[in-house]
Amino acid sequence: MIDSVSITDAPDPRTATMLELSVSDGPNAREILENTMKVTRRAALSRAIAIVGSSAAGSLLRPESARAADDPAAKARMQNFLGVSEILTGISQIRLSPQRDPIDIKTTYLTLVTNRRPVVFERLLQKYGESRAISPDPKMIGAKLLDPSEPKVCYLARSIMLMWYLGVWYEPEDLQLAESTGSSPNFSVISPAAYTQAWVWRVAQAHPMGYSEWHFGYWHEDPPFKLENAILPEGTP
Amino acid sequence: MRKIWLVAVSILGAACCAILPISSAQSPPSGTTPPVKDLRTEVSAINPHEPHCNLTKQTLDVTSAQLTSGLPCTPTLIAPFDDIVNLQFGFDFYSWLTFIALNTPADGQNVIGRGPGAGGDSITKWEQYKQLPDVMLLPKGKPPAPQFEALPGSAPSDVAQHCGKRIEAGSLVIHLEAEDTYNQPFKSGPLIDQNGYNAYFVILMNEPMFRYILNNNLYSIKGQEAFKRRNEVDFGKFDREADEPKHAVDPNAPGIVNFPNGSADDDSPKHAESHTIGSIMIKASWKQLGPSDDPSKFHTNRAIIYTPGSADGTRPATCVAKTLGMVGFHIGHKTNGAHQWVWSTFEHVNNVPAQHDVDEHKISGQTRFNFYNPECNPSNCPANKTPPRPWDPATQPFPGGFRSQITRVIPITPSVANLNSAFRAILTNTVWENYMLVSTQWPSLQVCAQKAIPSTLPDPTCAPAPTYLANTTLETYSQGNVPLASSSCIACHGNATTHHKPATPSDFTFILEKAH
Repeated sequence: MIDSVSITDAPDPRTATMLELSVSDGPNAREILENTMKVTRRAALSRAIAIVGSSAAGSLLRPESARAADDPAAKARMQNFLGVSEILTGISQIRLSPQRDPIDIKTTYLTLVTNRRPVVFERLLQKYGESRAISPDPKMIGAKLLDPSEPKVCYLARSIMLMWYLGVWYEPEDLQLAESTGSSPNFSVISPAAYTQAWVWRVAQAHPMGYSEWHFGYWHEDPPFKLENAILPEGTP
Repeated sequence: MRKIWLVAVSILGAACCAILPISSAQSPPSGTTPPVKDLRTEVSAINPHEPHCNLTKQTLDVTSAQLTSGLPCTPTLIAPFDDIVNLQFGFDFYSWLTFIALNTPADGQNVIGRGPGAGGDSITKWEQYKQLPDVMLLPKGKPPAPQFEALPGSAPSDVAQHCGKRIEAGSLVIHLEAEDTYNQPFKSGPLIDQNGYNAYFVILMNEPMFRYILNNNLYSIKGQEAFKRRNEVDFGKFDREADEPKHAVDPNAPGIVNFPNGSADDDSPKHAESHTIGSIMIKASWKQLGPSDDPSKFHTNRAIIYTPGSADGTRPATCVAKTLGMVGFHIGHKTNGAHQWVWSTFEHVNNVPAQHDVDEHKISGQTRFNFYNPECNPSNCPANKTPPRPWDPATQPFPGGFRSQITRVIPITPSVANLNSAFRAILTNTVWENYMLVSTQWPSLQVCAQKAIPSTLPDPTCAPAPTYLANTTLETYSQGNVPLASSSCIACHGNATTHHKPATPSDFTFILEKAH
């Protein structure tokens, strides 16, 4: 159970932990979130500003109409992708993929990753399956996926993490290069829907620039919900 | 105990400031204290039990029995409830049932398409609803006439003065003094038909919605201010322990705009008493029928077009009767399973072609559309462009020969197309076979949508499905799938507020913004 969340700025936006979660007895996925969420609020906002400037031109995908639900193999593949995503983001699968999901951003993301990095992504899913067979502990699985001894898988995992949180795509090689050189990695906005669905906003109880689902006047009220109401399954105590 | 006392004081205090309803029966005798309203009793009084809810379940077996099945109190859905395609079909089916029920003759003849006009046309039930200007645009925030039935004398005074004697029962009044009668949402521009004339838009509300506005004095800014003040004494503070506003615990708390719901909760122990129609809003679009239009293909209304006089006095106010043909039809219905309302939209079948059909050269030059000319070269007639300014509705036809060249950006889904074929088949040989469903938008997150106060949720829109929905005559220039810029009924109406300052959420209707 998350008791509180505070957002801190850090000297190095690429390596500092943004969210300081006060966790009493919650699932280990929350710890993964704490350990792997490597972006500051300031960095997120500055990226969002850049995204606004490039949103129209930055779209990488056409809408994907194929539905995984119609094909058992595709459905299993989607489930594995969501399992990986839950481990990496700390956000419940039911939140990443609601039972009724008209926006269906998960299909956009799965298609993108599959097309961009088919071989490494297969290896990532394989590692996820192997790790889960050994232990269901999300912390252990997360450590395996982010194991630096296999950098291609590690940085693809980080790209997936950033994709869910920021709605943008970072090439894994760019992330790796940025870490070693201190440069700013390039990114592309995945789609207009991805821009609005970036999880950083709900985690921060905020909204992307130029788009809000909240009612008029929300800006002079306290945030209307707790963090766990956004990232844990509905009804979680 | 103290809490109850404070609420009572706040209500009494507010009543002193509010504009009282005009009915003398509702006004307390001079010098006495008005009784404190029991809001739940009040809600049930204005949204009474409906013994004839249409609870027809979705089916592909559409028969003529559907023509007399009545108005649904709420969509009646069937499993599987995790299948969004199945649920969308259920909502679309509900939309057609609602369209048929609302468009049955108002004169008691209970079968659609059996009226005295061409194609069985007649004044419909919804045309007996209250027009927005008769409630919200009265001078100095005057209360509307308490009778629900439309009366010529209830129109705004200048309109009544000029047009009163000409307004017949069932005649709509086109109030050109109100810009949203001829301009699209966000003042994005008028829609000009292929005869060169403006399309017109009207908004109406059913009786539960009207009674809620009337009883709570929400027709005026002063009334809205008093309504809000009732909220501030005890309910407005944020409760960090519960992590939600205190008023969220009670949707019937004073000061929260919460229109009555439609309900057909068969799981309720008192289900037989829990059936209610709830609040319904209608927005309809019309074209002026010209010599080249076939009136038998349209639902028509002999409407009164009121044009105010020019500010400099050189042009007097006019009041002209014209035959209008319906080209678009929105229905917003608030239900207990969709506090973001359910949004159905219909169009005349000959309004516009789909953009993909234009791109693939599938549109014959012989086809006649209400808002598209297939013979005009795209370089001369770019699609979905707003007309050049100025947009003066008093200057008709539109100067310079401009005609709107409109296409449908988001195509109608195969599922809706099939459903349209089935329902249009049972409406054959009536004027109503010329209308089709575009789609139905509904809040797809079930638990979320059942929360009475959506503003306390991470996503108060509860993931509308489909994400975007536009009628080519009512959201002409905001079609598409760009967040915020493109039309989404729930996302847009989620921003609606009252008109007093500071404004507060108005429960997904812009009607209260019209108060003055």
